[in-house]
Amino acid sequence: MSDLKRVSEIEINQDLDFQRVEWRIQRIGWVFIVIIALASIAGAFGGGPLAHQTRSTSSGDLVIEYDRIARHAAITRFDLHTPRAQGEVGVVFSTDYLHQAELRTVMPEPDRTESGAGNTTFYFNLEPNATVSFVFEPDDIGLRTIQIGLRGGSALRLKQFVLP
Amino acid sequence: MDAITRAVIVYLLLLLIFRIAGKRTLAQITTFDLVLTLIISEAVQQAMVDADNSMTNAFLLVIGLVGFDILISLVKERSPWLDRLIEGTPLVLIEKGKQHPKYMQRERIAENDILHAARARFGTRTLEEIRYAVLEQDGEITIVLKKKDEPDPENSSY
Repeated sequence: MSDLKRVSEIEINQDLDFQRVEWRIQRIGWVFIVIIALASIAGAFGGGPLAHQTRSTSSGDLVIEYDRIARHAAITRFDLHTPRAQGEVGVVFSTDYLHQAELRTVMPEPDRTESGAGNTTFYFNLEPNATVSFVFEPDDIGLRTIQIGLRGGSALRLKQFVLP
Repeated sequence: MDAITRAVIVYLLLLLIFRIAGKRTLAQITTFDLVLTLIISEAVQQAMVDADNSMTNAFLLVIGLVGFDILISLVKERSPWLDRLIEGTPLVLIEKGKQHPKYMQRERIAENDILHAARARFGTRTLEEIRYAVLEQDGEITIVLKKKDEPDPENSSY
């Protein structure tokens, strides 16, 4: 390289001006590292209080706990609480999300499933105040919209951002 | 995401993090530096391989990493500015036997680290024997000793 200089007796490409800029950028970088670490603890990258959300339909017959920030190829849960359900209940999922994420487990297991236009319905036999959990593993990255509802009832439109 | 993209993203992210961390971060001074290197490789490996354990994936990742490294080295050769940006510059810490304490503090280098490098290479006993100490781009400290017959103004009676 042609940018060799002489620092007293040694030939070297030392550049103090550049070095000072580098030190300054490094110090700023350290601050960023701390910010990222704190944001991560808070859940900005999933898995913390910032990522977790609870939504409820206006009638209150469906409450969903889920992660609005999830990660690619890591599991994310949807916990559905149905305070007033009794007997056979159909949980309707928009099909596009089922294509964007792999359904790992459903707890309890559905009695049957039904595929319709743009949605899939999972049927369960539930007591009041039951909880149904769906565990997914997102395949795609980016913002997703998921529509979940009860058959014959209102539905919730949830947003989830999937990090790489 | 395909293997080449993953390899390039991992390459760039790690480059950025280690430029921010400073030259000495993984210079393998302590035993733990080696341990840290191993843990970091383990942490990154999962994300790079991404649930695809095929030979094709492994081969493409290596091609991606090595290919990008070649590309970077070609660009560095053309542009000294980018070379400096990616590799950093060396820094003279001891000049004609005189320390630059401010530079040493900025790079988190103690006298002990310089003595360590000098002892390992030349069996040097004291700091006075060192004429030059340079923190190189790779985080290593290189030493130039004073010549034996060189007059030392402070210890002339020695």
